[in-house]
Amino acid sequence: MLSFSLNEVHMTLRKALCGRGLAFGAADDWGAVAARMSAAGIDGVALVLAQDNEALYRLLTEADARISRGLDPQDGASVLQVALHAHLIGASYDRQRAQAIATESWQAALTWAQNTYVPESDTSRLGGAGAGTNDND
Amino acid sequence: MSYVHAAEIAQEMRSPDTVMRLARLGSAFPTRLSFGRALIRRLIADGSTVRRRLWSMDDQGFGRAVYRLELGGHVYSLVAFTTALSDEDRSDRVIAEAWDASFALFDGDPEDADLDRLQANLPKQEAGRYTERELVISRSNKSVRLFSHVADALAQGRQPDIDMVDSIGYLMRTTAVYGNGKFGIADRFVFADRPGLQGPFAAEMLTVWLIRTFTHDLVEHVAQMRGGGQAVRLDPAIKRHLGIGNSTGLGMAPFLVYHPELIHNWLHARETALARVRSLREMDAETGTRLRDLFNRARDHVEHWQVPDAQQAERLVTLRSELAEAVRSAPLDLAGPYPIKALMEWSDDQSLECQELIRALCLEPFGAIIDDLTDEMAFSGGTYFDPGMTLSALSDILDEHYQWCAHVDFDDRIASQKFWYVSEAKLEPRLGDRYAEDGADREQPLDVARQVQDLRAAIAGFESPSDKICDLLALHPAHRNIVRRVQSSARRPFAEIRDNLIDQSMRPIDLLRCKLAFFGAVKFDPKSDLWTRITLFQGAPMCDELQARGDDWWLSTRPEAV
Repeated sequence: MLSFSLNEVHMTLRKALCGRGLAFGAADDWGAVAARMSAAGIDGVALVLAQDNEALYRLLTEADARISRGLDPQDGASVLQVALHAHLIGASYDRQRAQAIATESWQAALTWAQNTYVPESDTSRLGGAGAGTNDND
Repeated sequence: MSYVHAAEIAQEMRSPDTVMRLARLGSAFPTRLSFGRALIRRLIADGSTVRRRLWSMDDQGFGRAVYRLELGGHVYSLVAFTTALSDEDRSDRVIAEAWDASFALFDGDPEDADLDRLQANLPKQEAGRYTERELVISRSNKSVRLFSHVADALAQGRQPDIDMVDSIGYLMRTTAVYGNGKFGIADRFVFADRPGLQGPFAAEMLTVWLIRTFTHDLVEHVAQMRGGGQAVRLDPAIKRHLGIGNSTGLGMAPFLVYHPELIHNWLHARETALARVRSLREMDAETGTRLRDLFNRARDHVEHWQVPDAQQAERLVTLRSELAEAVRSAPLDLAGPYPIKALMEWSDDQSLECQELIRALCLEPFGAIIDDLTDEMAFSGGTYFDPGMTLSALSDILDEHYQWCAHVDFDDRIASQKFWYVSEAKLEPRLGDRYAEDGADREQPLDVARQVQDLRAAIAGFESPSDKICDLLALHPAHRNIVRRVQSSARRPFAEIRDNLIDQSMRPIDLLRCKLAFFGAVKFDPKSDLWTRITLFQGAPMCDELQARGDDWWLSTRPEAV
């Protein structure tokens, strides 16, 4: 099993969720939640990806509503709900490298992330930064 | 020096509406708060030492090397590998797949097994896999012209041509410097609190400064192998003038937009420093002399800043003429009341380049009253989110900090002509034309002005004064990104670039120059609107002269011919 940096988990899951159709802001929050869970020895990538987009939005809406009323997570809240709540209120946590992300979860995230990349074309290549010709000067 | 009141400083701050415009950000100069400068001061204060621990190079300069640095009670090592590279593979673009040299900043002393592991991965860069022991990874390509010239000259027992050294400025240029967890390397928080590495991009700047030393050693090694007993070493003054180059493209632009808290801290620190010196009521003769000396140095530096890019060349012609005029008409005697303010006000009638250069100049003699601000430039906190904020309060923030968005007319196609995206080709960041190219459905969210307008329209659909952000997001989850940005900006007025980043006229090069100036870059050499070459650490002290030379290298000038 590979070990991952927490920023890598956050950024990769953000891209994966954008690639799955989630809005950027929501994807960013869930990427951070996945990193937070992964720091605690959980496969946060798998846990988040197991929820469909509708569920991820609903969980955000519920957490926003509770926080806006000054409430803690409800009794019996899931690991996902607790981590989301902690993330949204900016609670600190023990930032350990992610050691428990399964190869399959990571691959699933990378596959979804592919949907955010624009296929290569001649025009696209010219829109990139760099000489694109020769840098032997 | 007069005591400066906090209220007076606040009054002298420039407005974000003035500072955060692309044209002005794109005229930025390095200052003594720039990250390269802050790093050198930390190395000096710490009494840091560097030792070449391993040098295993063949006669062509291919092999491995390790430099060991002690800083703040920790040991760091620059690990370097060089390989032969054919000319057709030498490209500064992200899509390149091979480089002349690859590097890692390693946490501690690498064992042979670490070096073998890194040798199997570092030359592949993004395609390699790394561990928490690697804090930064990078790669560089030779300036083939200058490297060959310097190696040949030294091998023949003479120093290189100073005009050529000055016009290029570096033996190698880095084409990427990766930090903060990329490809499995250490997260920034692992070392962000260590003495000496607290500032933004401190580990990256340290890596680049060590790479510069490596390039000096490499060219001397190649010369020695070619010339044998006839070869000489680089003259120290020429060596000091050889910085390290960098090619920077579009990747830096999204970074600025995705880290609003960090950008606020950078700009707020610089603007606070400017306000502090602007508030000085008088200046002693010694400081006045120092500032005039620095002005002459800046003129000399600009005189030798030559670029092929037509637009930048024209700006430099104007700048040179303005600096010549300054000698005649600017209050450089610094004798009146509020002398710095007077000098800045003189510059306000000149070009943006001149305004920003004069401001950078005005900071230089005043380390004692501004250097503490470098401690405020990092950002490692989480972002605070208050979904219970009323939409009325959110609108108040929009009114205060986002008026600039209201003037953008998105009914006009040119206002949204460009779109930012990531190519599947090595994930290279790119910029497209929305009306001529595919891919806008995969756009990166750099369209802040457009998002703000959409948010305002969504807020207008809520009528009760007690409606909250959580109510809006429940109905419009797509606004989550912009709502969080806006809320965060309430306490961070310098967080947003106050221009439309998808307009047809937007020049990414302006974003790059702003960021690179904060790094400490000089000799901006735009190659198009999309990318630039620059030089870092030109004139900076070398490893063995930190204490002797100190931190006096702002806009350094070329040495005399040897």
